[in-house]
Amino acid sequence: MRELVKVAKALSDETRVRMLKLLLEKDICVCEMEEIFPLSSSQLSRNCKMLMEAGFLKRWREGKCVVYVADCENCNRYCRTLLKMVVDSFNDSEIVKGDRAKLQKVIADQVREKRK
Amino acid sequence: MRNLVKAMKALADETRLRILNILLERECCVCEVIQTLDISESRASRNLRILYDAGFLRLRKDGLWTFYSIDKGTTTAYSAELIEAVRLALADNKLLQREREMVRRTQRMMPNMVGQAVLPMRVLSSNKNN
Repeated sequence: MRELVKVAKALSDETRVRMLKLLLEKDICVCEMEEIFPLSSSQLSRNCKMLMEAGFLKRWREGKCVVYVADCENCNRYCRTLLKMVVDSFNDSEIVKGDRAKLQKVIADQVREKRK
Repeated sequence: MRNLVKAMKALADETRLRILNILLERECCVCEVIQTLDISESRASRNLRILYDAGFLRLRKDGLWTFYSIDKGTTTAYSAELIEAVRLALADNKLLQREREMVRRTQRMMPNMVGQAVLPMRVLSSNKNN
């Protein structure tokens, strides 16, 4: 039960849901997230950590960068149901569309390569 | 997105998960929630209200009683999927199994049932230590 509470807490914040939405589509490092969301890197890291501890994300290092991506295989059955729900929702939302556009720009600017 | 966040906030609490757990078994009135979970009335009412506002529950009034049940008509888009995820997640927990069992075994005593052979709710408290 404690685990489900942790999972629910991880998804009870709009920014974290937006982050997860992008991380379901592509691996993103914290420095790239800084260009997309108006939060400091420590706040972003904290939010990523909450999502990771709930079992939604995995991470690795690339030089100085910590890269996160959604982990659909390792999580348990109800986490997978929730991830699928997030995948299927908000695709027409203006906020999500804006986030995606920013992500495309970040990729085009090669933010990660420059910071490595 | 705000609806989802609200629904997840409602689920991010052990008392509320325990309430959903027994309501998955059957419809309960506030006093049944109070007795099964052994919590105060204000705590039960407040948490039922939060779950109701998040779109998980249906409310039915009968005289002085208020009955709550899982809303299968799904007022919000996610609640059906979320309820299913909750059911999966809670299935194996020992405390929750016991509380489900308590609700399953007891019968509600309504005024029109006086004189009939039913198991009073009081039995619940003696079962708690089993």
